[in-house]
Amino acid sequence: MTTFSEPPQAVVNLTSTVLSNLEDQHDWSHLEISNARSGRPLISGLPPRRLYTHPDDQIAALEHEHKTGERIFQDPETEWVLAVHLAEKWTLADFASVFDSIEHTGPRAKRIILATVHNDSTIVYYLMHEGMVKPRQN
Amino acid sequence: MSSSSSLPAPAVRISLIAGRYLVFDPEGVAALRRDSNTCGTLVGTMPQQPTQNIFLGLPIELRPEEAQALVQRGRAHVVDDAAAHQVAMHNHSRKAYIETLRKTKQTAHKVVTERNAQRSAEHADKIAQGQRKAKNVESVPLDNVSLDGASPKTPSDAQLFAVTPTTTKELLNAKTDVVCGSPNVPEAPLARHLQYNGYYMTPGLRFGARYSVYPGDPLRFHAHYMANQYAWEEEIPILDVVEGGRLATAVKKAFLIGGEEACQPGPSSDEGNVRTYSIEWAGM
Repeated sequence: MTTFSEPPQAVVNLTSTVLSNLEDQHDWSHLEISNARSGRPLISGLPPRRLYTHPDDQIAALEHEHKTGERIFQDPETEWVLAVHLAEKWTLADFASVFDSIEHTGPRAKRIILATVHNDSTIVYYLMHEGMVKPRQN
Repeated sequence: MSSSSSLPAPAVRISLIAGRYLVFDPEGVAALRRDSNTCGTLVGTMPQQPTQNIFLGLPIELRPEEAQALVQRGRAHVVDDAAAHQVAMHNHSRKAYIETLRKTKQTAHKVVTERNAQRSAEHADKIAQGQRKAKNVESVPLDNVSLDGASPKTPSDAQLFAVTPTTTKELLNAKTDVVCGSPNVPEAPLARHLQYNGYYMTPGLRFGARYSVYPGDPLRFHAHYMANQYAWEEEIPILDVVEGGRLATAVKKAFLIGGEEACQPGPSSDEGNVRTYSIEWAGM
């Protein structure tokens, strides 16, 4: 994948499709598109509920709630969303450049949401963490 | 995660036989599992029941990249087993080996003789009891009951049992081993990275990836990841990412992709510059 100063129209359309889906179906707010250094636009936004809690935080939260009755790790966090099409092919280098273009915030590993769009406008969302992050106990 | 002790353990002997990396020594297997987070796969069946392939035993087979990483870590050395046998057969250890074979035969002979003696003694006892009942006599002197084979005598070699040797352990020693260095296999930076960081790997077939990755011994933990390795510039179809993510999330794991970043300036560690990404379903 070459680095574009302006993303090609197809990528722009793809990103706006995902943005509409986040806004209208998933009730996200503060949605913004930023043309990241990686050459691929990234969407930032705030989900209505917290999208991800690390399993260790989950344990800590349950313990805390058990002791004090107060719930922690509940506030939604700003997420980065990368829109991709199902027919695309990405390399580890491409993913690395996307991760390198976002700032590290918080104690946990960097993460993005991979929004995969299919031709029938189905969008599936995957969490992608940098490094080895153990799975949640679903 | 890894219980890295300060004492350097002796390197485990990996036998390279017909392109497969095998460990026959039970202590070596235990050491690999305990200290080098490597389980291997049991592949040994019984010589007389080769179709019995449900419960397998020693040896364990290692994946080439596992053997490679172990050699690089100094935890094992690979020996060309066929060459080692040739060397051993052409020097003095051959005589010693023949001697151990003879001793094994003698031991087998002794054991069988003793067992036979015990059996005939029991048998004679039963006969004596039977006679007692039949004759309805209070006591019968046992003097006339002969105990066959109770006197072990040293047999000549010709009388000895034929023993099928099950190991050539006695033949080989460190002197005869032909060490072949690090396995010449394609680089497996992800497997190496995982092994260096104390993760256990088992074949990933059952979950649809290359490796199942465990945070500790697979007998104690569930796998946390299904891992696939890619080259840094290798194209990964997004569909594969979706598939992997689905499969992994369905079994409460994360899908791990990783590879070695090419040409990174600066000193490179022997572990390499591996970058990994964990993928799981976002639940939305």
